[in-house]
Amino acid sequence: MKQLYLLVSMVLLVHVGAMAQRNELSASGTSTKQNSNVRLSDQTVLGVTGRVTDETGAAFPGVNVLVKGSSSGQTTDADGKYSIEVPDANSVLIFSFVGYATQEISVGSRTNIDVKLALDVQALNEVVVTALGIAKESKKLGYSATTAKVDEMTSNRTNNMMSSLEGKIAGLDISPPTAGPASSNKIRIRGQSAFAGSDNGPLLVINGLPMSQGAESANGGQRDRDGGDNFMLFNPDDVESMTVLKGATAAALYGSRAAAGAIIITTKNGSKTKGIGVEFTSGVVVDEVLDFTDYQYEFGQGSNGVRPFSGANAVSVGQLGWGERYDGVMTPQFDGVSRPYEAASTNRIKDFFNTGVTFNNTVAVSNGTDKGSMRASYSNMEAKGVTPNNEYSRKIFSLNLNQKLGDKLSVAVAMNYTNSVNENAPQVGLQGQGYMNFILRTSPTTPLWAYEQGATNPNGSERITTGFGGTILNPYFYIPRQFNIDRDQRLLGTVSARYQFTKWLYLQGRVAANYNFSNSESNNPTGGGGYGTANQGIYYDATLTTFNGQYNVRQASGSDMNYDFILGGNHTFGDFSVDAFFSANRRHTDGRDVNTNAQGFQTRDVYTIGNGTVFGQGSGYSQSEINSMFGSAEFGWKSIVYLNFTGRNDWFSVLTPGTGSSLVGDNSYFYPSVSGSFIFSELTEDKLTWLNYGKLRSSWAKVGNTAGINNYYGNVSYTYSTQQYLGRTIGSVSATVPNPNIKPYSLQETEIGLEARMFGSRVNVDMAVYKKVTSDQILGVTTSNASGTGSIQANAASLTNKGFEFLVDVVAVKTGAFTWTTSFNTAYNISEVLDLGPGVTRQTITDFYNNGGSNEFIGKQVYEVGKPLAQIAAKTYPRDANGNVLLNSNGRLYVAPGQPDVLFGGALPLYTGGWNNTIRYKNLSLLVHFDYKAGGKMISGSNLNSLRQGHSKASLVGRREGETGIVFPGVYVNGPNAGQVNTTSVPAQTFYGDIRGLQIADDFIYKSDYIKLRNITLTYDLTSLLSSKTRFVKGLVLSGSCRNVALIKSFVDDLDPEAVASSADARAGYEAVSLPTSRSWGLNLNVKF
Amino acid sequence: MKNLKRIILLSLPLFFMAGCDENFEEINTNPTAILKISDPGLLFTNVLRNTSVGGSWDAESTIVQHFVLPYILGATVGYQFNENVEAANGAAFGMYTGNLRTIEHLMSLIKDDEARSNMYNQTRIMRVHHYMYLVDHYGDVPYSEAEKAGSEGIFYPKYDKGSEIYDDLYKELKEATAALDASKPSSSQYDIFVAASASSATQMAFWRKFGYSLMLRMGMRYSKLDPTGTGKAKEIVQAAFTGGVMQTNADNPAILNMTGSGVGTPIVGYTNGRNGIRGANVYYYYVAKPIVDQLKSTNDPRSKFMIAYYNGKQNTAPSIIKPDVDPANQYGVPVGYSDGTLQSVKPAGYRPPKGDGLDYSQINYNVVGNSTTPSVIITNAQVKLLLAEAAKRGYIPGGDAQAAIYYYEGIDASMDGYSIYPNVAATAVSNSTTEVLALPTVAEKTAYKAQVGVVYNPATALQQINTQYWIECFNNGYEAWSNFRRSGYPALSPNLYNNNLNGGFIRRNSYPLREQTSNPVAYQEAVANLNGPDYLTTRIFWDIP
Repeated sequence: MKQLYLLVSMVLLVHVGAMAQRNELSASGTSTKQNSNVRLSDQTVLGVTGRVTDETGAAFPGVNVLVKGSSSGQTTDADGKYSIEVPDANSVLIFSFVGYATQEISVGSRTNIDVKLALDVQALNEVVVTALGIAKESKKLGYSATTAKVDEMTSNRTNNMMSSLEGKIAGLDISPPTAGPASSNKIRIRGQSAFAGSDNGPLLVINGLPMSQGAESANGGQRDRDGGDNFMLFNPDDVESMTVLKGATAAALYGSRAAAGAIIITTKNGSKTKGIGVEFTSGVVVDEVLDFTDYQYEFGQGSNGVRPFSGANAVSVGQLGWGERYDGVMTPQFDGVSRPYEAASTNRIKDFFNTGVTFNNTVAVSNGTDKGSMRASYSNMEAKGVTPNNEYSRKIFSLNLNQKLGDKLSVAVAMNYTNSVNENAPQVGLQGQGYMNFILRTSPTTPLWAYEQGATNPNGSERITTGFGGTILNPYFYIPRQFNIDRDQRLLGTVSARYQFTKWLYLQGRVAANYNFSNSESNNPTGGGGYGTANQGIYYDATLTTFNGQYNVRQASGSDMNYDFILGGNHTFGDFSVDAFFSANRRHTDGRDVNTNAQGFQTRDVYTIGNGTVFGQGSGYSQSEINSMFGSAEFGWKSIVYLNFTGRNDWFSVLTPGTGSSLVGDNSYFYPSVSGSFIFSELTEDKLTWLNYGKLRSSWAKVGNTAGINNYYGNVSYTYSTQQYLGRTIGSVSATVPNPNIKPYSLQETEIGLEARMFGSRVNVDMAVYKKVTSDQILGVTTSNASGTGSIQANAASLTNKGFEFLVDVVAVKTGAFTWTTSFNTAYNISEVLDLGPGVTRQTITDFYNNGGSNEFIGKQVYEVGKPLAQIAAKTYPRDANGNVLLNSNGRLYVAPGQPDVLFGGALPLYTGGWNNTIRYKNLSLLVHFDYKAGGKMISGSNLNSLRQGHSKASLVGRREGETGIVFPGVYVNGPNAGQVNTTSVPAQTFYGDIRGLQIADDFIYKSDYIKLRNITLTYDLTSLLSSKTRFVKGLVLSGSCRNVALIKSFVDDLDPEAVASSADARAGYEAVSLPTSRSWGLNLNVKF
Repeated sequence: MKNLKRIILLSLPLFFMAGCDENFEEINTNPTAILKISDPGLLFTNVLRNTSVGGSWDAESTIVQHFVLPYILGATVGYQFNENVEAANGAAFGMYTGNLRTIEHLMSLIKDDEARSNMYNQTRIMRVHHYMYLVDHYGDVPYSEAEKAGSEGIFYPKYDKGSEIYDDLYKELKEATAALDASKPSSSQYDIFVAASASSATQMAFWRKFGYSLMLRMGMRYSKLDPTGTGKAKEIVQAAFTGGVMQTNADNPAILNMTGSGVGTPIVGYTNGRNGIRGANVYYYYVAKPIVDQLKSTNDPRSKFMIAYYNGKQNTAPSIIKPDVDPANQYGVPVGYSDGTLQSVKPAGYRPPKGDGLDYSQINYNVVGNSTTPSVIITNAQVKLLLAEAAKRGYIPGGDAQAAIYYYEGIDASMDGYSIYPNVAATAVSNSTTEVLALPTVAEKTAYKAQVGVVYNPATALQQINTQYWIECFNNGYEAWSNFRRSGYPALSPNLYNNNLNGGFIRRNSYPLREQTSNPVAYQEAVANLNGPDYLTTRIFWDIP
């Protein structure tokens, strides 16, 4: 209902906008008439006319002409001409056009003012928000810092605002997993900085409050739902600016937290508003599930070419599509009912999943005065996921206050409170209750409605639908019975005070707080097939008195506090300038959690602790602290050369010997950086007139990270026996031995970059080459048992990431009111594992199959010395020296004893980038964005199953007309015809079953490269069409967008190459049981009052 | 100027924070974990309780032909088939991550604790036993750099020469034993070898005897290196003898194993460490012909505690309350055969298979093979027999006369030693649910000792003494094996199942495979220092040919 109202009001507003346009047209009509009557002596109204030209002298239509201090204004016509009334001779006219320097011209006694607009060099000499929120002219930066286009995040809205930046910033690799509307992103800046397990997501700094990205990735069996990340705490409508600090130097001031780069966000504080402003934004996004499967619908359910002959048989072959050719004859299905033997649907993915809808509404009030400013906003997002029962709602309250207290002291407060409820986030990367597992693997012969109607046995337990009773579970049993609710509250706040002693010296103190409180509940319903059929499938115990199932509740709270002071100043001495500060920071974190679970329910389907009879519980507490001192000094000469030095020393509590600690190592680490920029265009100004701006930059930094050293790492603890031995208690010392010399890993990065603006600044180029070496990474290394422990966390491994980034931004066409800006970015990053510890050449990061132990499908992710990170390792076809596949004398695949895994390539893309086009005509702008990734591999568990279970088109090979099985190209390895070419036919089901059994991955490895038409956004800025009579409306922008428009190039069968369920490093390139990807249609309206 | 003042004032907090890690100790202390042990004595109990004593039935005990597992069962293929297998090789090394880790940790906690100096020195004595166990198994092992992962960050310790380790252990044992001080507090409340209420004097007297007895064992290990009785063997044995070794069976440091409240079920975790063979398929496990023949031929009263004949299939032990313990009905499996070759070759003593297993005697699961059987680190009987040999060799005074006395005392002590075993008492009880076997009577002991071959004979004394030692060590494969290597007695025939050992005996364990990959540099150095390849037949320092 609420949403309906919003839609209606949006339509009304559009209507108002159209009326405003008409009013404007009539107003300009009358002004022309009045213009002829203008007299110099007329002090109340003056008419001014003129012509606006661009930098080439051509007529410039569509330029906004405004009278300063009022809302009246217009745009220039096709000849660049305008005509406007001004109140008096003191009036000032403002001429503006996006990308051009705004000019303010006093009218004085003139009635004709011609203006030539120049490209906005100042905008190119933009101010960038750098580490610690310090704004700097970009020319002074010796490192790469890219400012994101914030408006593109609001017009192309995604639940997690970082998703909309995919492919837009060179070197920023964003991979949104397909894991529901509240999922985290995998964000890697310049590659994966350290091994899996380290926090390789960028540091997120919001109004000076640093926090980790905190991605709670789905992780297969360990964590089957994606818990989102910290970027979801923000409403993009509140964001004033976002800077991506790519390299270690850029982030070096964050010391031990800077290893993976940083993203600096400042929120709007109302200072851009003069007087009271109200802003309302309303958006709706509709998600349409995409189905890339191209399965066979020729053969039905069954095994070995035989259709089910009974209900029980239909269950045992429920997941198999190895039956007979469809003929429509009535055939028993899992529920014992006979239905026509045909494909019940060829569109099962779309049949099962819903259309997702997200409503987003924000209202913001701001007020700016010369004494300060404020902005308060409230936003509400309601998202319905494509998975049944999955809903995500988020309310964000944001408040920013700035106040000057006298001339020198100012205070600022920024607060962001987020309250989110995530209900039934989809289970991904998991068999069992992962719904996609059922949809993809269960034969389409049975209609979904039959699974829904026949979901339960008479006693209410799940009616098993396939031979994989406990691993392919019927979603229709779980949808109404299972719940998993995460309620999170987060308060982020920054309070700062700044005292400006003199023009050149200030002291700032700041407290930044991050409080979280979460409550989550989940159940596993009574009677689910995962409990097996013991005790009639619903009872917990043999006495048949209590019901199975589980209820869990967990409450957690914590805080992450930062206190800092900055003493800073700058001074110019002739040609020399100095800008320096000294700072100190204390970060204190603590967290506690309590969880309880109940089983053995007395009353069925009541999931509470009180209803249980068997309980488990746990609780935890931890705290840590990092104290830091740091400083920066920048030296400039003649605005040509800048040199910047930073240094930071961190003291870590987790590295401090304390009670029960074996640590002896140092807890103090120093992280320096040096960077420089050389604005060579200052020297070539006269000679190279086409070069508007040219800068060479270079930097080096060393940072580090304590990832892998948990709180209380060094603590040695004891346990006591619960049973007495000969009347005595036995005490034991904990089996884990901490490494006394453990230290943070370190990362050194060197970067060289070039920025240039040419040809009237219509061509902008920014490029960077970097190399970073991550050493002393913390790994669990195998030690001699004689050392007292068999393995220990040690600083043992190293890797490099090398790459380049390239951005070119061209104003391709600019004729009159039409401009086409095209921007292309690309990044190349290649990693190499240098060292994995003494004598180790390969380390398994994730064994997906793990001999069936991990409840997953195929392959491993390994690190191998000399290779890029995240190699996909798996078995391949056994071959002889000539490359012939070896087959047994019966034509089946030969099992080579101890056949090793081979490497199929790295899962991480080498190339990432995008091509962004903005076409503007007057107030209409069209954004067309393509993006791509290339150079990585993926392995598909879904495709393994669709082949071996007879669903994919590939599984038709061997059973098409005239075929009686597979005669696989290869040679016999044994038997009388050893060495001869195979002529023996093997039934397809048997052959593909062997591939599954032997875990041969060749057919399921793909290049994960893709080119996508990611986004089309059409924005209509109605502001200038507003009538002076509707002057209470100061701005009106309407935009419509489509995201994931088209997959232009892909190498993967039956899947979107981005269909990876997890944003975790350890699961890169592994596809299985992820949700289908979606296309989103969005409509967004922004009104300013 | 005014501003400058302000700057200084406002900057002060900065410098308070500067370099500040003062609260970090408190912050980095987990409030929810036990980080300070309430009493280190609890660890001392742990050390005593978890001390390895006898090795394993299917490793050490098969070398000395007490025991045999004739079935080739994959994982259990090991020393009975002269196979160099990881499972057997790696077992002793497990001490490093087990009890030795606790020992070193405990010593670090109480090193400077005056009130616990006795406990500290007791722990040192235990440490000596553990390292002797390691050296006796492998030869050179990590010692000076061992157990230092947590304290010094040494993850790949070097190996020290066995002889040098022994030298240091001797020093440790001397110092620790001498430092036991009855005037200092006792630790008897944690000491499982004495009553919880024992006085410091009682406890220290016990430990002094234990320490010197261990020293006696150590000294005798040098006997091959000191054939003339002028070297280390004599020095150490004399030091031990002078210090005062164990006198009676009450001095036995026995690790008792517990049953639950009256039902005979062992308490999990408090059972005998050599309990592994009891789990399942016990019909695969048999005693070997040499020990059976020895017991049978001398009508040994101890036989009934050690071996038994079970009629019928034994899935798990003990499923028969009253196995046949009549020595006349006992048959040992000939050494050097698998179940298969046994049936094809039919060697002397061959008996055809029966049921699922073979038709031979097994361990008496009610007594020696019981899960609650005690483990005695060093027995009074062993001490007496070592003294007999020491006297015979002239390391201590008395010659043959004194040797004979010690020899007979050793036999008596061995027989009486079964009093602490389950289902053994002074008088027999036999009914439908229980069978308690009687300890040998004085008459039985006398008769036994009077037999030809048992009665002390100066000409064959060393063979007799060490054969008795071999019988005494039936429940201690490690000590039986060590003493067999040292003394060469009893004169066992090599296991000729294959030629893996070149017709010899297993004289050491190979280093665990894991060391080759996890500690390769030190491992290679250690192998280079061996008297041969890293193999079972290479001799350790005190075991010269």
